[in-house]
Amino acid sequence: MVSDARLARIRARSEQQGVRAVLLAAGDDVIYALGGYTPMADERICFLVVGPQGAAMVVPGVNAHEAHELLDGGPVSVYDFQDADGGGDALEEALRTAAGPATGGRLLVSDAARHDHVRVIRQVLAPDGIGLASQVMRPLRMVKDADEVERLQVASDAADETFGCGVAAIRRGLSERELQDVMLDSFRRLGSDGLSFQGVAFGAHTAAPHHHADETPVTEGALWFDIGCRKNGYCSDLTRPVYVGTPDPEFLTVHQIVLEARMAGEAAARSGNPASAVDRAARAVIDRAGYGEYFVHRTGHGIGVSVHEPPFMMEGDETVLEPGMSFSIEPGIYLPGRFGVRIEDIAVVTDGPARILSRLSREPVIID
Amino acid sequence: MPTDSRLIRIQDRVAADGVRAVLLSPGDDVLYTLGFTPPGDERCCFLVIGADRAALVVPGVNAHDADVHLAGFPVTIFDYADDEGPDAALEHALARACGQSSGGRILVSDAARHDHVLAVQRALAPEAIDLASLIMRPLRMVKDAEEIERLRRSSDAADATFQAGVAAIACGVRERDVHDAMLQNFRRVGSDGESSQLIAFGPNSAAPHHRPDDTPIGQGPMWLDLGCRKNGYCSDLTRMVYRGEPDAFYREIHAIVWEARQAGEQAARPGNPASAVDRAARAVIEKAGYGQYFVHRTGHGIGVAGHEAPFMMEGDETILEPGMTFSIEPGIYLPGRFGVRIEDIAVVTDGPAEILSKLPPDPVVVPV
Repeated sequence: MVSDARLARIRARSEQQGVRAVLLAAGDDVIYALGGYTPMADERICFLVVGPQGAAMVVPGVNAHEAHELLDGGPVSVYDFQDADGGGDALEEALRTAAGPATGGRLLVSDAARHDHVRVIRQVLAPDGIGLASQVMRPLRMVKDADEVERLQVASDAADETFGCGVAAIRRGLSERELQDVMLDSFRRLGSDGLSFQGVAFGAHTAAPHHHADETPVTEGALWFDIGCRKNGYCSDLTRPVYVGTPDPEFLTVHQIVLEARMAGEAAARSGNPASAVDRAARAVIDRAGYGEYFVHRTGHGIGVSVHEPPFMMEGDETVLEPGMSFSIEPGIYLPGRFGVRIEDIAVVTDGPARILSRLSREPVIID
Repeated sequence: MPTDSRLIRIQDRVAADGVRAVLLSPGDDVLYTLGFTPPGDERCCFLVIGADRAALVVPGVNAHDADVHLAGFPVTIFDYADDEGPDAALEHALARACGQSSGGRILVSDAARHDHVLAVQRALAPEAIDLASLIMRPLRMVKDAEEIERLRRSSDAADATFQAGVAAIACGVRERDVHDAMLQNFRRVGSDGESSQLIAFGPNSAAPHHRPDDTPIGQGPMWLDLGCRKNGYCSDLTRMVYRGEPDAFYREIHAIVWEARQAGEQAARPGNPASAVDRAARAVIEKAGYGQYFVHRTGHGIGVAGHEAPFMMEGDETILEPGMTFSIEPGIYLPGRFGVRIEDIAVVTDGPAEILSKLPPDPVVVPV
């Protein structure tokens, strides 16, 4: 199950950059490198070390059983350690396996690695320098191959279906939390990998772009669901607004503007454009309509094994879009004390127009 | 509504240690300090604490939420737009927290992301960066009466959820189903949305961190290892269940582990080092001849984090004090056969340790 091809690509890029080895922290970088598997991440040292001579996983003894089961016989050697020993010796051995016995050199460590773990690496492996692993991983992880795009589609389908479950469950008097529970169950039933989120905001809460669902009961007014899961290692992220009752005319106006912004973003999601062009296209629509100050966040973020990853659809991100890049386009307008509207889709860059993963309509969902 | 007594204690330590400022990342450190934390993601976010004042650097998308939670609290909020990046906000926050005083080390949370530590380096150019645990560890390790009460309530939620898990064990049920039943119960009893509920049946139980899968629960042993965060504080509980009639060998192993668990409790006295708890529990298992099958430390501190200092293992010489809270969880894992672990949370007092779970240690026998 471990893909040698990805390890080879990581190796090739690190050699190009004159790096001795890359240390990937348990989590997203490891899921990418190993094609779907990562040991559990906690306060214990846990790294996949990739160097010119091989790859080795340093894993705490308590998780060693699973690592051996999944990795033994493949291209990744497993070095486990006991809690009382700390991970130092295992790290040294793993680095020798991956990069040979020489010392010094420059090491790259995952951007999301813990501060205390980076310090252990500095003390134990005494490299000449430590940089961010994104230097190697970012260009690889940004461009998805056909298998990855297929996994993103499957995760997106799960989000579409879960959105349907959430809408079907809406009743006056039900709390945001209860709607969240319905969608959590749906994601589990559909086989998410355990990581999922189900944002629910009702009424004035919809004006806070990251509202945490609480006990507020749903009555009449605006609502949005912002949901996603990880399935087979890849993530989904979807936002749709809903209105319970007869929509306030300004809600419909704002919805229409956000929808136009969302479509403008999609039109700019073309190979050759910079990521910032997607932001500018969407923002221009909202600015022109006079709501610019109420669009308080970037237009989108890359998505893959992480829910948020490069490129970022915002001013200043000049990443040139290529076929296989996948990211959210999610403009919004948030009117404090009143309501907010956001429409979010995942786009995949192709040679032609972007492919949109969600099959849901973008018209406002209105519930009587 | 948070109180600022913890903030003041941290400020006192900052002044006493001649540290310029301590930067806490979203998650446990901020939750401990403010009773609230912004979500942690790839965007830079820090609570900056100087000797006199505190400031929060937060991405714009989460600024509103922070404003609401910190109303009336002496923390100035510096938010930044996605396309600006955090550098200016970090500089302003540092100036607010420690005025014009320059020089001195900056401490950054142990769990902070590698790339965020580099952002601190770039934006603030401190003389040196060190781990925030230098200040936070002694404060977080010793719980006050209110924190212990929260740990008790979280433990009650775990006890009730264990019962819900046992109730879900029936013919044709898979590990995943029991996991789901416990997850739902945690949500019902009001966990903060963060919970872990593991179950391992039969030979799976010989892997201490087995992840629940589609294994059907037949006749034989299993453990349930579960916990949640409630009102900011965590629980962690492991108990054994046996479907059918346990055989003599299983009962013998269970009795050894229970004896080890009790020996750990006996050693959990003020004045003893943390390692003494490990040694006491391990000695029982070694004497019985199963030392090589006890493959992890005996326990870990618990509070706002599920795992935190001190660690009950060889080498951790933290002297136990009243108010320290940690798990005592010895286990014996027989590869290919089964594993037994009994886990309780102990609170060090002036006398014998207080054990939070009210559940008996015996295996729960579920008739077939």
